[in-house]
Amino acid sequence: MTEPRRAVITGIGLVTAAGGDVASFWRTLLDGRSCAGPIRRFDVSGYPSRIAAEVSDADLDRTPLPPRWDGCGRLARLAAAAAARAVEDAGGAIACAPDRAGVSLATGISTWDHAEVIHACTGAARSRREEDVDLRAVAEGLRRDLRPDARARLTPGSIPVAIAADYGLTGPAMSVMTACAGGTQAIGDAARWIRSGRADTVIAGGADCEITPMGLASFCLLGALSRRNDDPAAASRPFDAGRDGFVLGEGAAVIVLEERAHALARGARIYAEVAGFGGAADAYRVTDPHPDGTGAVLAMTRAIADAGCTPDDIGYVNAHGTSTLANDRAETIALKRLFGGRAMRVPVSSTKSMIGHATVAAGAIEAVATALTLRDQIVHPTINHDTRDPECDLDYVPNVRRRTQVRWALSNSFAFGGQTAALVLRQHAG
Amino acid sequence: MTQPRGDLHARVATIVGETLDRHPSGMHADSSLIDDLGAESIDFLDLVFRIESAFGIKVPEQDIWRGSIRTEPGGGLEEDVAALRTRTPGFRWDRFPGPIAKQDLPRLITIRTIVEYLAARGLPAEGPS
Amino acid sequence: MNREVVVTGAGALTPLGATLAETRAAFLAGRRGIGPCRAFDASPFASADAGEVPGFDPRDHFRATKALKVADRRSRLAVAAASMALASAGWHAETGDRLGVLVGTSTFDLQMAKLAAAVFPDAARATQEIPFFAERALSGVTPLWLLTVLPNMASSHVGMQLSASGPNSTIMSDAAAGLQAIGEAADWIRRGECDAALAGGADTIVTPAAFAAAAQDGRGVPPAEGAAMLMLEDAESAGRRGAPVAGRVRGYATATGACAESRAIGAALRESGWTARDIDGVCGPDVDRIDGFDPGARRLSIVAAMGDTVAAASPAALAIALGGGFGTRVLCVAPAGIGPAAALAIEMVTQLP
Repeated sequence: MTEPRRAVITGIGLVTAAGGDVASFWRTLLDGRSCAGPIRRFDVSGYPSRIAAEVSDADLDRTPLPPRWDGCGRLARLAAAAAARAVEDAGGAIACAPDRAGVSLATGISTWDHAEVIHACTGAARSRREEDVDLRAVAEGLRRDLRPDARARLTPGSIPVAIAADYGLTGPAMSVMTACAGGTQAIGDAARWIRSGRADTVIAGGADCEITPMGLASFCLLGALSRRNDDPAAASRPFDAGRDGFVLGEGAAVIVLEERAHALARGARIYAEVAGFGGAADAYRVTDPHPDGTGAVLAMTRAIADAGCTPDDIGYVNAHGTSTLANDRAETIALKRLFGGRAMRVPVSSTKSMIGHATVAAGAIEAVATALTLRDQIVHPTINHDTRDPECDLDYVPNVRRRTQVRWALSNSFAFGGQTAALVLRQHAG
Repeated sequence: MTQPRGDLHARVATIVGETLDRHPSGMHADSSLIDDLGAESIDFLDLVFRIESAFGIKVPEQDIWRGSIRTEPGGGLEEDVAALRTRTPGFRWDRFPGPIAKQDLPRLITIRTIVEYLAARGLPAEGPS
Repeated sequence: MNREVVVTGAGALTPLGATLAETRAAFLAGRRGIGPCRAFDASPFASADAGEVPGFDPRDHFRATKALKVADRRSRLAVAAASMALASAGWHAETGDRLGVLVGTSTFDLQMAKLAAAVFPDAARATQEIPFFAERALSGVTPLWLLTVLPNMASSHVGMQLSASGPNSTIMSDAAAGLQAIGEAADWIRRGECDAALAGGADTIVTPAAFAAAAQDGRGVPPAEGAAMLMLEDAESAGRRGAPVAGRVRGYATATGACAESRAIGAALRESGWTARDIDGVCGPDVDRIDGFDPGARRLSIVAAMGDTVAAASPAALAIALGGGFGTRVLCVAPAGIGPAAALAIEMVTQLP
């Protein structure tokens, strides 16, 4: 009887506010350093929330990309650069037949250009009432102002195909979009492809960049963002009593996921195993998480079952931990339901406390942090943890990193819209 | 019970109805938007936007009961809640057997409290809509 | 775990009709669902033709109608198609935690009218001066904007309206997304991650920006909208509840790069245990041109009748084929383009009513 197939991480590529390589990224998280600051990308003086954890343009631009990425937007280039770094980290090439290798990527919708789209609205409105807008004029404006290749540029689904083309891969390619759960979902889907035999290698991850005029506005309109503009480093404070919303982040994290026997056979360096994935939907309300954490508990339980372990085996949780009142409270409830009496003894930390919420990319970045936790047996802290909230009373590894024994770890992501996703990662022994 | 402030009430009922996809005539002036009419957090954001657009005003965040209730414990909250209790016997006060805490205040928002807030801001009670 | 997956229901809304039955009847009668765009005045474009779903009231399909204010056209079509698929499968489970949702789609609707109204009276200034844009957007755009734009809301709405709390995701791989959704959801069931799933495509490019983008390439295929969702189930559970079995999923593959379509077809066939000669029906948006099948194999191409329904196209073609009279070993194909290619092999069992 053949051994079941397993999926392991053999390469990591990062373009994040905490750094564009594994060592810098991990050092930043372990040192508990906030990467938030005033937004520099554009003039944010008109916004109530003016802070974010931005990716440095210099870091994004240092990775040479093939000509197909010229003229692509930031989102596409984040994804491509992270993929390039992941492949390099995995040894510089994809080590299996091209038709056995694929791409599973979660991408945001920030593929559109502010100037292009807003300019197209010129002259179309006769008042500030939507009913008075002349849609014919909007159509004419778009016909005039959309630059060539708009369809390819605007369609998120073009990005995984282009990344596959960079490496001559001809296996499965897929673009997923489940908002803040996307990065976790894409890695889970990639692991399923490998474990079910659809692929031997998958480039998987997530990319997003909502630090744009309308991106920032849309989160401000939802009241979701912290307004601690005078102290950006202290603004993202998941589970803390003084939290007032999340800090926007951006970036990309891409991993090379390989079938385990195949990776061992070629002597690849293995960070950790992606052992299980679980997904669910609250099916409750549009933004309010279920007060009992139902969707979250379902996702975590399924991921644990898929991994073949039990909740008692989990030694660390990388939380969704956005620093909103609603999420952190609901996630705490969900973790207590999952772990029962053991909940107080399971360290839980939030990467978002340091790099903010990179939306679609978050789950992928956090999967990387979880893998590094397993590799090094150290959990990074949840920083800015100063004042206990009676409703959030778990061990959030406040402020200082900690050595710990962890063989199985859980990484959570919960989306606007109610999708929930969780990964279980397992320490690679040997 | 007479409906307060005629036309303003009708306009507010229409707006609340559009926000919650309910017919105005099916909503009592003292129905809690949250507990009786199923409002969730984004509905309050939506409601404030619609009120701002309809009346040409700016409503500071989550402020739509101010004028009826002060929000600080020891700073007027208890007195204003007591006064509200006496003039709104149609509200489900039985849901709040103990003292009202600050985080309970959104549950007190009704069409009536919204109307009182807008009237306190000087919006016309009568006149063409 | 490697369970058998069957199709027990389907629902569709297309330019040929607001139900699968209407769509199928119109398709077989050779009708065409293309006409001048009704959603907006598209006369600035070389062609204003579009394929739009006729006579559709989302209130017929939403149980909690308050959600409509954050449901764009695509989400409404998705819920309607999923709801009809669920009904056609006769599913009446008390809890939906074993019912998954997977919607394939290709675009997002920026709601240009809302943006244009907000930046009035000076869109040009809003383009250049971000503080001005911020003041306009923060005072003039509804807070519900982002929730309405997010493409994953299609799957969320289906989950909320139909009480499905199983695995839930949204695929955006352009034209193949809907067929990938069916294949991936079949894998979820096969592996035991859920026992049933509503899977397929819901899409619209009949919005000003998507229409404008599509018009650039001058292909001459009218932009269109539609949704087609299948009800997939684990064969054993379906058997226990006496569900109608319309088909068995035999093989699925998706591929990218050179010759993606033929490799996806080849891999799906290998998984099904069939050869190309075994196939007696090929369906998809435009499959007449695909070589390699028996000359007697039937072809079911929908793009001429419906226009470009992007991610909904292959699922819609499959849903029509499931109505019978089209062969018993059917291959559904989604061509590569901006996105990957996909292929799904289905063994037809009983025709869907």
